[in-house]
Amino acid sequence: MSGGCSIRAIWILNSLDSVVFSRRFPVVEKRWQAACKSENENASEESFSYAVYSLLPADSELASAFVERKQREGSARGFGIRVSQSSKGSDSWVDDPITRHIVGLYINKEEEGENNLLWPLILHIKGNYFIIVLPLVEPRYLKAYTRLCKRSDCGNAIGADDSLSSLLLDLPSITGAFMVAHAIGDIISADVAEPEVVVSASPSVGGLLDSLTGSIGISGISSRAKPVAAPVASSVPSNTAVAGAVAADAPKIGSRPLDKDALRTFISSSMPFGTPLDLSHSNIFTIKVNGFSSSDLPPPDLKQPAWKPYLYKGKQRMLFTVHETIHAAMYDRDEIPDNISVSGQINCRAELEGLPDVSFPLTGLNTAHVEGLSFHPCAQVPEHRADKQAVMFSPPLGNFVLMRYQATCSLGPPIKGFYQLSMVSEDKGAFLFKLHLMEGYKAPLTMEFCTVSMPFPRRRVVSFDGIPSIGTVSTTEHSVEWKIVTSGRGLSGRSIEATFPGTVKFAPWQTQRLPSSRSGFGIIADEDSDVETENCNNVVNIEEFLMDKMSNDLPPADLEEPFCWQAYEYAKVGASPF
Amino acid sequence: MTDIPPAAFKPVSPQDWETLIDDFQYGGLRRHKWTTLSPVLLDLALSSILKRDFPLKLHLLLFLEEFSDSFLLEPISLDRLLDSLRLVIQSPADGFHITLPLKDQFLVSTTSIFISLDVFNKFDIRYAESLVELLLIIVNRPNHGPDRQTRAVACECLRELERFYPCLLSDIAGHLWSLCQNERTHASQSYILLFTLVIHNIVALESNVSVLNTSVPLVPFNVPQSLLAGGSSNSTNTCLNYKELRRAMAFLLESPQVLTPCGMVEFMAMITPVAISLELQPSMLKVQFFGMVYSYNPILCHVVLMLYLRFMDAFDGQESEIARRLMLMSREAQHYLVFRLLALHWLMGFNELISSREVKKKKAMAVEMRLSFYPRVFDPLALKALKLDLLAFCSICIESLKSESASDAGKSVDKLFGDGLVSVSAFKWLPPGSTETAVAFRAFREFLIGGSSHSATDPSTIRTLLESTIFNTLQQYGRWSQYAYGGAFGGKGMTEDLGIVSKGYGPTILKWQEDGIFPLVQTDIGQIWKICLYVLVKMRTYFNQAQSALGGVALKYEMVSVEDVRNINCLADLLSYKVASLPMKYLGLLLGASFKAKNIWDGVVEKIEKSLAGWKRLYLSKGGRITLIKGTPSNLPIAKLRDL
Repeated sequence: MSGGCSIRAIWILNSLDSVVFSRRFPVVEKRWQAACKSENENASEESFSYAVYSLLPADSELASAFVERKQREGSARGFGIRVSQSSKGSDSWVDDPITRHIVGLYINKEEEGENNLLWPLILHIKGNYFIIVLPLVEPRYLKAYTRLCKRSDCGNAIGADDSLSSLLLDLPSITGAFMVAHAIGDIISADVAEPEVVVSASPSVGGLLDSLTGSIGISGISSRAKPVAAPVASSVPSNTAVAGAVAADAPKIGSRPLDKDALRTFISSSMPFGTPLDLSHSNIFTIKVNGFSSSDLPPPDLKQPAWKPYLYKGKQRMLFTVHETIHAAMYDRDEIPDNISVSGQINCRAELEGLPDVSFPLTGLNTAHVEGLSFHPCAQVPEHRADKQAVMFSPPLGNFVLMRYQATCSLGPPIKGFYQLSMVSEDKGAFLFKLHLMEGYKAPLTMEFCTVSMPFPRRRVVSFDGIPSIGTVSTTEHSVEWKIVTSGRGLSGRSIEATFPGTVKFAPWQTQRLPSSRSGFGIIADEDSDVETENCNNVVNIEEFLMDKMSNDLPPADLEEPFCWQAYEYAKVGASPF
Repeated sequence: MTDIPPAAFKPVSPQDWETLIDDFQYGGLRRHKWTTLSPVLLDLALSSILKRDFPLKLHLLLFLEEFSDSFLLEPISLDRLLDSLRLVIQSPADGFHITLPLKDQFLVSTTSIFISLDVFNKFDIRYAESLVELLLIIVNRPNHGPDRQTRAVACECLRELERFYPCLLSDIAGHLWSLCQNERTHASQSYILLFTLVIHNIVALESNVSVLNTSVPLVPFNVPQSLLAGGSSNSTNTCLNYKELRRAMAFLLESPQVLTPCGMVEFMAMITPVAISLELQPSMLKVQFFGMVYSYNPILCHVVLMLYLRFMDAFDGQESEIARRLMLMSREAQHYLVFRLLALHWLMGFNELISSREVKKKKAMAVEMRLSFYPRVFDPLALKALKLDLLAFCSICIESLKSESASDAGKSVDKLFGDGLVSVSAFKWLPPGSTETAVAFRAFREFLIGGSSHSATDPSTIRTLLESTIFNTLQQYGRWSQYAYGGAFGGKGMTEDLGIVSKGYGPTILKWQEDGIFPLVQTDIGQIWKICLYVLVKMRTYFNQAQSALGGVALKYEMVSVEDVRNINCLADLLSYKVASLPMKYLGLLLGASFKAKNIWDGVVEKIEKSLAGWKRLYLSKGGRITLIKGTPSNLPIAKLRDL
């Protein structure tokens, strides 16, 4: 019965690398052992050397294997792609970024010799915790992976047999284990993954950046729209009948210390035998707290879905909000078009009695701009998606994301402009901001606040000089904050231009010698820089010199980042809502 | 309490139990010290759980479940376990001492212990029968309100038992079906999954039972004779009752609306083999489930992919739609990064799969999609790396299509490569240790060797490589070679070999090569081949440059195979090398000869004598002479090497 998803064990480690929580599923383990037994019996001579390690490690063994991998792979996640420190048999030898998420550990490395690889371990990092989930896969996949991370070639090869890609395609249990790991992560951090609950109070992260060289000017603006006043989200059991007066009945789970009872409850209910059945926290905790009374009658003619354990009773209404994140790369150059894309979602809350089907019209949708739509599992999308006029769905309880869309932007971003910073001396930079706010946006769209922050993660700000055309400025140790529009004085129905020229003085530059994780590279200093000087005629020599000096000890960016932020001077813009 | 508890120590208080559980989970010696307790552990735990005010009931049950293998189970303990279970189940839930979650967990843990310890086969069958009977009694109350969650849990327990002892419940399948039809609360998922598994096992074991027949009563439950006989009753299994099973399937296929995504995964895993065995129309499944590919839930997309893998013919013509969806999933910024990476991996695995079926089709598809593979500005670097892999894959497709249709595809390979690299072009000015550099060079390599056949037996490989468009494009990338030494090529094998060729430019290399030796062909031919190929190609470039720098002076190189290399002449020809054989002179020594042979050292002795002749021996004291004699011979080769 391949194709299912079962979990052999779950561990949670803290930042000190000790196991703080573990859960094993002996029933799944029994299946694994049976599979190993038959695999080893069928194994031919040639593959016998890859006999699989068939025991589940104790917490202490797992923790030490985790530490060992961390040392071997440079960090908890690992290198991801093969570098010169990668050793044969380790994850980065496989040369694929996904090995930062699907890891292998060698248990009791000294004693056991060859057959002690534990794979696939799903690694999810949440807060200070490392969540490790081990799904059940057939032993032959483990063998295939062992071969992959020990083959003596020069790295990932496209189209090779038994590639990591074909393994991942064959293994829904890995995908399922990621869902489990993320659900557990949400419980640890106590952020219930319901869309409207999280109203981001702090300005969201985005970047308006400009490279130091002046040759590459990538800039980005992202803004996050806060949903319109939606009631506090929670799943509604039927007894809270008063519309609007919804109590947050999903128990609040403190993130520290680890709420082991909540974890145990969640795991026991969501996957009693290690096979996940339902990963919705709100359903599980509501059932645990409220249970069912004999007045909770099932619908007379329909089957009540497993994802909707309670039926709503009370005043009927539906709420929708739209939440969009705009990624903008603005080059401020004629020959390079700006790149603006929108990731959006429509959140919904349907307080409807019974089990109704709801039709959501898509007639206003500008299909030319929308790259693709994807829907909540409750939506019934026909096989051919022939009908693009409407989508039919049967809403679950509480708040949910009805659909997500990726689109290009017909309108410019709500904040548009450029930012330049040039170093006039080693410790002094002159900068200029020129921004247009809400250009092309008409009432009733309102910008309630807009903050621009210039982070200087590697320099300490001593002082700054300059007055913006609008708004107020403050500094922190490593940033300059410019509040253009403050809450309560929203910008509605008109566009404004904001400029901010100034200078900022830093503490003397200190060469940050990072522990040379990539030692042994004979780096030859750049001699001919024809590539990047192309467009820097306006850049004085000192700046070039400074740039070289600074960029030479830039730490490598994480593979999770789009680029090395620190190599650019960038600003972050937070604006919302409108 | 000392580290090693006295033999008579028995955990009573919650704190004692917590210590014990921690020790068990920690493993090693800490667990070992409790060994003396194992015969009575279960009994002790049960009596604690049954205490009214004991606070760790659930925790202790989980402990019993996880470490059941460490008990020495006696029949009397089994009786005790079952009695305790009955007691808890039958007591009304008061919300404090006996809660519904406790009941649920007790059911799960007991079932789990029964399965782990194989109570069915190792103990009297009546234990197993009474557990199943208890579960069936709970299950047999469809639509009963307050205990619906417990009924769902009991279904899960039965499903787990049926999974380990296939056809355990097949005799009562008729009852289960009607329960399944009647249940309308949210517990219906568990009823459906249980019934699906029973059907699955009937089909898998080709058991000749009627799923409509309800003549065997639900309770009292008796384990079927076929199971007791140890599965040797194959002769009685004639054929499946297809008509009835198809009816059951038709019923099951109506139900997916009520399943959670996780439930759907389980359901599909069971239903697919049944559909194959019963020879159902795959299009039925397609109509019912293909829509899930439009869900943003990754696991549902994966379910559709699994369905595709099983019924490729039925999905014929839908490959590009699936590929498009996967690409879109990788773009959804709302997803966790890992799901975006997974989507790309599925796409790659999917491409490989189609390619094994219809080569041309997939190539055309990949080429068609190439525009969507370009990394975007705000894609995380990990995603960029995988998208560049896909582009490299496209370039292979284009190259091979080019050879078939002689179009101007070559140009678009250049473009593909150049445009793809824009996303990490910062590597040109970032320090060589940057991640952008690593990603860019990984892509260089993919583009370069991706098209080669990766096999040592194909002599055309190198020629193809040298003539490939990508290679020519790469040569135009100017300064990039400098970074090769930065280790960005990933992998020791690669950097070590490259280190040789990229230590310097032009004359330096040539000088080094004059009587240098390089690992042209290593012993582990099959896999090292790619590296060698790469090194070869690199060398060729450098030599070409160097030769022109030196004014066209032709240089001669020799290559020596250490092992048997099939195509060495072909290689030598390509690179304008001479094939030489061992032993050869290297650093003044005969390489390849036995180091025990006395005469091979003659040359060395001669050289050192010559070096020493110049010294004015008379000026040295006796001690000085000894020092010189001791020190010089060991240093001479090093001094010599330094000149190289």
